[in-house]
Amino acid sequence: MIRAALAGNPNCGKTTLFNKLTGSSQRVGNWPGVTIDRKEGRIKGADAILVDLPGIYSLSPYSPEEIVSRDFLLDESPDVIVNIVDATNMERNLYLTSQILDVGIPTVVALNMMDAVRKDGGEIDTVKLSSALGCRVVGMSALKGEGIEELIAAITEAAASGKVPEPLRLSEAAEASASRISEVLRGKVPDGQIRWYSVKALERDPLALERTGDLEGEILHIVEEMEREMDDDSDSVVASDRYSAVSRAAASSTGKRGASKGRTTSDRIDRIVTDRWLGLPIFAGVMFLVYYISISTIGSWGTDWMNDVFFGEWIIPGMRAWLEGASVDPVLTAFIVDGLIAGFGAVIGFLPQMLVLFVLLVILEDCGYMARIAFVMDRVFRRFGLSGKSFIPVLIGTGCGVPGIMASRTIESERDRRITAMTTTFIPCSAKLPVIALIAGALFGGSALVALASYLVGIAAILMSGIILKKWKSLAGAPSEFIMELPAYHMPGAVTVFRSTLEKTWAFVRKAGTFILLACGLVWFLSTFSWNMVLVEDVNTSMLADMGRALSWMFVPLGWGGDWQFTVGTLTGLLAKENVVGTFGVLFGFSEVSEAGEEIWTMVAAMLTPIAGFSFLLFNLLCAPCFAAIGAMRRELGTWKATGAAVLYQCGLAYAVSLIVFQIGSLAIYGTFGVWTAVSLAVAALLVYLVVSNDPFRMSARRSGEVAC
Amino acid sequence: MGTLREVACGDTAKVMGISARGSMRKRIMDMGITKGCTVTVRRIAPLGDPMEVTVRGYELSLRKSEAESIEVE
Amino acid sequence: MLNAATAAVATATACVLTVSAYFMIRSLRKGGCSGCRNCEGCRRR
Repeated sequence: MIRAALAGNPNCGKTTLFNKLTGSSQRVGNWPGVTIDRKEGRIKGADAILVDLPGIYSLSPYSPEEIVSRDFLLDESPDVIVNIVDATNMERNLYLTSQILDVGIPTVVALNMMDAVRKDGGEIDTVKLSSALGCRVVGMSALKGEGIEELIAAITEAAASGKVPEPLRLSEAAEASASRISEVLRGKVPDGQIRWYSVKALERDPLALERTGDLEGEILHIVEEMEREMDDDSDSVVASDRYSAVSRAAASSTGKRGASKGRTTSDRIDRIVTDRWLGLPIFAGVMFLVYYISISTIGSWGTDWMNDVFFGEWIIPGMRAWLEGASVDPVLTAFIVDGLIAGFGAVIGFLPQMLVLFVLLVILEDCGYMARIAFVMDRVFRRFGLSGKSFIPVLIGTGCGVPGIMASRTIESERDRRITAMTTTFIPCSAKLPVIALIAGALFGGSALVALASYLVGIAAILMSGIILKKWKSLAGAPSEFIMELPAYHMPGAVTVFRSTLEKTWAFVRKAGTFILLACGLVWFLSTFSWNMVLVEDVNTSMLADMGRALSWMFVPLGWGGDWQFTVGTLTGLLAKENVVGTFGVLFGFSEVSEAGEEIWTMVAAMLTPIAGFSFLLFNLLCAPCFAAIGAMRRELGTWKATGAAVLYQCGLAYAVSLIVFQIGSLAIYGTFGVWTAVSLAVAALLVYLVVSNDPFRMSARRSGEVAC
Repeated sequence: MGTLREVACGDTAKVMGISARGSMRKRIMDMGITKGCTVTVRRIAPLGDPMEVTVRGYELSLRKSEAESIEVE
Repeated sequence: MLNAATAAVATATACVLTVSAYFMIRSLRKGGCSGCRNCEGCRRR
């Protein structure tokens, strides 16, 4: 059984290749000590297991991904390394290759994206590249499925022959010094890895030097000599040499250079979109337009039709008539029509808006614009102590918080990672959109500004939390480095857009048919019966009303505690945020639409002032996320205790924000002033203090013994 | 002589050295910015930071503080 | 009132709800994500 390792840069098609090679046989496990997934699978049609190493730019010892990969290659000695190289970006990719060739394990280079090279009119001679690198090179396209068989054959061949590739030669001076170090190390490290350790020691790699033990002094002596001779730091010399070597190799094998027409159009677009002054307003404008189209115009026509016609005229009266006509028990009928269908229908009613929204968002993501956002937001985030890398989980969180929280794993700084995991859910996810649409529709005339405001509040909450939480722990390091690639823009493919949109829409419908349906059934039941299981006439005497009232007093200062239904809605939101809408559908009579086709949500409008509604919305957007997201937080943060603290923080912040918005808002609009207005001002002052003060948690008294880093 | 931070948008410069230390230094070099290579500043983001440069045939975005540690002429 | 129609509809409803619950629990155990493998969350590995 051959053991193979798949290594390569991030974003070079590694995952696609891994999937093509292993198909459905892959299993996901864990690398010990780090929260990075370890994927393994059997290579199709070969007696081999492939381990997917994390995407890395180099085998230096600084990030968990690099360390995990290094350790695997050196300690677990796979039989062959499959190094995937992006042909459209050869030099940078081959830099990693030069390091892999030093490890002393048979290597095969999978030169991916050859289809893109051909399309640009370029040519690469894999045979010439092969001889320049000293190992087999297989041209292929993982996306198109070309060259896969050839690759698998090359892998088995390399493993069988056991032929160790010739390492790439550095400059004369570096090679000479490396040889001297090799002499010193002979016998101290495994023979096959002498080259690796020699060159790494030359680069002053801390992990490599550690393994040399008492020989370190002698080795550093050699390094210093070379540094004097070259008048440059050794790591810089070696890096330059590596790039020179791979540059030569790439040049010798590249025929016609592609025109890369795609680049210049991208540039022209980027010139405007990431412009110093226009970038952020453009972003705000684009997002506003997206929500305007989906929630306020096209989408809302669809939703109105769904609510008024599809459910209001067809399904609901139809089902009711059918069931009554068949003499089905009226209680059961009510359960089905006023409970299940009402709740499900209320959520599905938003499907048209969600659909349009999904299409627009998928297009934005697929054409590459979303990547620019991280670039643009980095500066904003840095000002608040977070790096742009923390923004990517937030971006993902606009779809669903679960993968957003999981994406925080790519952040190196442990503290930043935890803070990001805790604050990602402040940004409205797709499940919260129906709630936004409902409030916007019922109380604000369907204005898209409600959606925009929700996002701005979310981002503000994330930034503010970043500032405050950073003062809680004692580490004061600089924000993580932010070096990232920007892929070229490209026209979103119709097939991709269609498929992605369909996936998202189907996920929405499925969630409605499961989480919402069940929750609404329960809500109906609890709101129709009193504690002694008697049918009630007035819903205010039901079990649910009692349960709601037990807690709703807490929300009176927020403006929506007067009626228990809103509290119940918020609670059901813990299962799935859309439940807020579903619950309202049941409790506010979605199934009793008048023939005149009035707004479904007039009851909501009657019970809440716009400012109270907005306060309710903000609370639901910021408070604890759904159970699935809480579960994801638990996986990232590690303990229930930490998760509990995070949820408590979220609810606390939600309460504070809603309180301030409602009280100050009411003061501004209606001139009401009461005890709670004063309290909200105090809370606002507290928040400002936490943000502005250098040490609000009085941590320095506790840390007198520590040395600042 | 100066740092990459001072290079104007659209201009090209040659890297003379990297004054950053530790993991930032490694990261910068790993991404292709080494002594002797040429770097072109493509654009500078809103609010002045980060900046996007072209090096060895591809685009890379760097903080101005990282650019500050790259000496060029 | 319990008649044939009610029994039939009740049974049908119970089936729907059970299936629904099954999928819901399955989704929760899988960790909430729909497993689309399209987003950065899975792609990063």
